[in-house]
Amino acid sequence: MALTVVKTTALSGTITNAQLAGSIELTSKVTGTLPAGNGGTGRTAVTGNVLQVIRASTTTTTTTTSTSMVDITSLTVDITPSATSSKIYVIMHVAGIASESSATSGVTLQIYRASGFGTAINMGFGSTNQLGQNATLTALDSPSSTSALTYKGQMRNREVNNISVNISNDTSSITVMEIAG
Amino acid sequence: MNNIDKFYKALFILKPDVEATLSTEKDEITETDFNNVKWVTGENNGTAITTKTNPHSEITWPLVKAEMDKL
Repeated sequence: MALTVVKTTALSGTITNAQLAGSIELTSKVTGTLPAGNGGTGRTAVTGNVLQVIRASTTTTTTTTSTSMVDITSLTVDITPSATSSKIYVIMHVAGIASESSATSGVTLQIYRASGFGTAINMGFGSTNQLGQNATLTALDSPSSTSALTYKGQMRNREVNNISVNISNDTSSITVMEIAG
Repeated sequence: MNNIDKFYKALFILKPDVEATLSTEKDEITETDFNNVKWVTGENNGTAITTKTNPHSEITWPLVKAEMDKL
């Protein structure tokens, strides 16, 4: 008959792989913080890591004759940075841009944060075939804040005619990413 | 001409150069949409100051609808 040796005393010092045959009850037999290299929560973000991503989208048609900036309906997103050193990368896609069909028109689109950060582009239109233009804007913000921030899309009319976005049930979106600084 | 263009042409007939923002989920424009128009009353650092309380007495929904129906 073969004999099996059963160790009844606690192991100490370096434990070999051979001594780990079988399984370990992780919930009660392991303490401490698993290192980042082993996939544990002890990991700390390094510069450039994406910490969170939030997106909002809308199909609502917004039309304006305003010559100063107005909000694009429902094209807004909130994010709370986890550190003051973080940067916020913003991507805004505006779809279905259209002008009144019989006149030369222009529009300014802008990514805007309430506390004063903004970046904008201008688009011009001729007098025909005005439906279905698209534009994508990007911006990199350094808010130095851990408070909730609101980024939103805005537009203004640069001529005397009405300008629309999402004119044909299109979808516009705004995405924000917190980047570790 | 779509209904949005008709809506703004009607506004301009009643009050030229009026500045307003309309939000709609559909092509048809109703009195509810009219009541939710954001009327521009001024500007602050490039951003429009708006109100949903119509400040233009010459622009009413029946008048706008009547002008739209002519177009």
